[in-house]
Amino acid sequence: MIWEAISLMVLLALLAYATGRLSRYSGIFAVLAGFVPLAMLFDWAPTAGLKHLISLGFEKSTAVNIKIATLHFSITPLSWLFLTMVGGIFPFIALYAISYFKKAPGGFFGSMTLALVGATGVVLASDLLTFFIFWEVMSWSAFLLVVRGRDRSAITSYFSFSALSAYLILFGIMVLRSEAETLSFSSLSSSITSSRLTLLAFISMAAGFGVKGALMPLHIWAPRAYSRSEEPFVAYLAGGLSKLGYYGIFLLFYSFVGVSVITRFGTFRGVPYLGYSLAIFGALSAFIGTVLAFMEDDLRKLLAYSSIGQLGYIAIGIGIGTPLALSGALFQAVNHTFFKAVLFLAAGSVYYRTGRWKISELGGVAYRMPFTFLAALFSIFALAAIPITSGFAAKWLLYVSTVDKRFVFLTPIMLIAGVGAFLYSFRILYGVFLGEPRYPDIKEAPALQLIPMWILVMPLVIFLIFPGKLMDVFGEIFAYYGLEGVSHTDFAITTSLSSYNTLAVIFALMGGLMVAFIIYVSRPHRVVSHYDNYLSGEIPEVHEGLSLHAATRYYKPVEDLFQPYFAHGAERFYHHIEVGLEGVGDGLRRLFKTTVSNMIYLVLAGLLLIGWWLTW
Amino acid sequence: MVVHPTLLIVLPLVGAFSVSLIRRYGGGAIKLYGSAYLFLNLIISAVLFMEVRSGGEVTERIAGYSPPVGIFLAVGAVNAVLVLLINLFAAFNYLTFNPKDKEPFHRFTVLYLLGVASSSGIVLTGDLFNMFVFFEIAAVSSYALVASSKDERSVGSAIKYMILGSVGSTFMLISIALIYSELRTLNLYDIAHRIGEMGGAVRTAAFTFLIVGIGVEAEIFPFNGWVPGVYGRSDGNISSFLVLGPSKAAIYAILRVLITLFYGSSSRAVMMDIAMVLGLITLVVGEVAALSEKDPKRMLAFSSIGQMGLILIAISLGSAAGIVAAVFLMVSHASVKSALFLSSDVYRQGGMRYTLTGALSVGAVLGLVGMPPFAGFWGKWYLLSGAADEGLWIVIAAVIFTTAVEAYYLARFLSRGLSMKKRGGVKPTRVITMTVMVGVSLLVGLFASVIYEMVSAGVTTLLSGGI
Repeated sequence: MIWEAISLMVLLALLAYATGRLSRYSGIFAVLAGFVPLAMLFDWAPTAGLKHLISLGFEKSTAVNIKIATLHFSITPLSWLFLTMVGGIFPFIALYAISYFKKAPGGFFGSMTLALVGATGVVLASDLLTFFIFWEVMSWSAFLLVVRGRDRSAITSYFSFSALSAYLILFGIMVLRSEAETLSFSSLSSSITSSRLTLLAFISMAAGFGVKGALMPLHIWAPRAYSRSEEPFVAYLAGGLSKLGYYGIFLLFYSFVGVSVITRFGTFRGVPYLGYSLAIFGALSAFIGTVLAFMEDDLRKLLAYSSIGQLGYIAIGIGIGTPLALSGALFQAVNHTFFKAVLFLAAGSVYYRTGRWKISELGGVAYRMPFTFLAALFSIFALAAIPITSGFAAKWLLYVSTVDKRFVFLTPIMLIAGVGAFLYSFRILYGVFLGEPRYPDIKEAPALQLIPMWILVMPLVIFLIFPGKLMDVFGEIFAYYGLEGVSHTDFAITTSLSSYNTLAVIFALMGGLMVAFIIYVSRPHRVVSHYDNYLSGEIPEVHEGLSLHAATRYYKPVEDLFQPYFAHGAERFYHHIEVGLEGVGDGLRRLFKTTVSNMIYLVLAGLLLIGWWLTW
Repeated sequence: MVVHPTLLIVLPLVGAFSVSLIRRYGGGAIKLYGSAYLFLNLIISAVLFMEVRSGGEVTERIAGYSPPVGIFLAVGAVNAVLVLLINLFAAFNYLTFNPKDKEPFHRFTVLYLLGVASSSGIVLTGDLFNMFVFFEIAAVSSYALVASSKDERSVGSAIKYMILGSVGSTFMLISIALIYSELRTLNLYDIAHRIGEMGGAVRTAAFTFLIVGIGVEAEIFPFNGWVPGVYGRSDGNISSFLVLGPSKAAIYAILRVLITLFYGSSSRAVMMDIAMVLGLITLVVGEVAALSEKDPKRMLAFSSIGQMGLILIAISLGSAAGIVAAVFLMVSHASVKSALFLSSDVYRQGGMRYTLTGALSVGAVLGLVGMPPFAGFWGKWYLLSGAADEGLWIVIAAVIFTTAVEAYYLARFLSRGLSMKKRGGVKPTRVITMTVMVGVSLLVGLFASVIYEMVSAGVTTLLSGGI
């Protein structure tokens, strides 16, 4: 049944390819394909409920013999959770895309569906070969979509990084395979030893997955690909596919290599060194991604850097590896899936109506597109981890877990990054949606764009009120991997340090809002112009070209502070590698440009060397 | 035996010698005539492939003399795949030539058919001297084909190629003479089992000369100085012929030498090591040089060198996984690299934006980098698992490094081609041929078991000095 479902999705992908040039409604096939993972999710839902009413008959595990190899699939609580991320958002993004394209989009929907096939296969795979095959299908179908952007730096950096990532993972697979003599997830970790080779395999696989998860310093493909591809795809890439990198890292810790082996490489306050270093890289991503985000003027790049930052939190959580931190990481992963998808879609809708990406050229869109604004607003709340939103629960769990371990480096960095996230979120809110109304003539986004956005906002609302429901799923995952759970009810999460009760927070917030509202109505007030707002009421001397818009260099002092250190350090690093390799290549090419007599000398030299080696 | 493998060599030769009879009917007729022979060859090789698949190896004695005295053709699993591959792509590649560009077209057809016949001959023969003769024919027709390109500088490249090629064939001939003087036989399998009778020094010399001699044709560094010039200046479809025909035959000849010919030699382990080091150097040199090369055709040429190094590494593993990997890599390289060479002319004309050529080039690049489900994936998978089984981590590291480099320059190639505003004019025959090539790579990857089962069944006899 799993195999048939995957075949069906491939068939739908081919149909979407075949009809892609005819009409944008070829996207229907992609939407239909998107319902296949939804059906699986429904059928495998870990908690009882509707499940007992109907069973669709998806088996829990299956093996498919494709003659050259046998592919194994199975569903675990973890893969169920990640399937909700990569599969759950897909049909809505596809639906959005139908409206987003004004012309027939050619191969877009076909490649999107193939990316979904790849992602579904990755999360359902239960042996390394299957995992890798689908991983690659996912990678290259995303590549086909990046190619559509026709931006050179995006294409080259995406493709070389994903090939590098693929072969780093393949290297790890080869090591594990030769050590454990099996490819099956369930029996891998029992036979892995803590050799130096295992360490190398672990690092190489973590780096490979880190590329897909846009972990610093392997992230440089992300801002380029995110900012130069079509929005619905970017929403899926950032929301869905990037999570697979962390799915891989999670499996690497708990299934491929196993915590017991990882712990043998040394620990730091009970956290394995390997996990702690992952957390450090995650913290760097969170921090640098955030700083780069609030210096960025291009809305898509801002969201891209923000993604890098937000994904970094997941790495922190998985790296620390306590049940609390893992809950935080998974919570963050689920949240990020939905809010980042919504944000990219909302950005796409803004572009659809205004044709602008630069924040400095946008402004006041909310007055014309209120529903888009509200969806974006809610996602931004989740992103900035404002209390009562589900984003807060995720970050809170992560803070508590680092404070619990007394990590004096990680905690402050996360806090700073959290503030930074608030800073750039404010720029999206004020620079794009509020402020000076520059687009008085635009219309609200089409319903076909609004409905998917609002459906994707719903999970954020649900987890806002019932974080415990999500924690139940995490509990099953922890039980599956033999970890302790985190104590919680539907509304509250309790830890050794403190407890978080959504109901209490909601009531407190409601009360606060009520008080604010009462003060607001009871006292006289006046409407201030946007210019007054920006200048805190002062009236400056009018300079030529002074923009009184909150979107233009709003954080100039902070930017000036960070600019020298963060001016694309990683990019420069890779550029040096490239230049160095090209220098070597130039030298080598000279060997092929010499005269024929020199070439013959070269042949003779080779001959003599081989002869010498053989007789030696 | 339904078909005689000999036909694969004889038919194109007959075609080559009789084509001038119809030259007065014009280019179109000549093209039809030439393609008739090539497609007939394709059918025969397909039947031969099916036969080997169902019944194991097929052998044929020439002129009734039995080996080791007589020449014989031996078709095992590996060369059945290869001969089908060469004839399939050669037939479709022939369609891409425009008779008007290649005046006089009958002479061109003679060269092309000779190239196909001799490439098939190298792959099929069970006789060392016979192999040498076919190498000479293949080389001579390649020189002339290269020189027939539009770019006038190709003549210079062809002359370079010719000089290096003659050095190579001289070395081959020396080696054959050494072997014959010691063993009095030229039959590959006979030599394989009697190589131990040779004196150590003579054997060393024979191996060295032979590997260098074939290495010139098989694009192995440092014997491959001719490669970038020739591929860089030839027409795309001539380069693609060189990739799918003579160069595949040459790397197969290396497989024969390493796996079969020196099977019984006491120093075989060292020979394998040497081949592996040569393969590694070739791989790294080719890929890194391709990274810094800006001209698309020369870049593909360097990339070819790298791929040949990869195939040589797979062969030199000397294990079943290595042979399987080599076969998949050969299929992959012959198909997608030829397709890329075909697209390279369009590229020079000004881009492949929104064209089928563009889409096919993307497919070819994916195949070349080794993404599943293309054939190249299985090649790299078996290569890496074969290397991991023997603990050759340096090989794996080299493959990972070069794959990233390869992906970088291929993506750069693609993005430049796709982002140019102008569209190149593409002939439909070229698109059909590219579709066949990329399609074969995809189908072989999807139905990898067909080739996998066949090769892994035949690999035991191959590894024990047989066919």
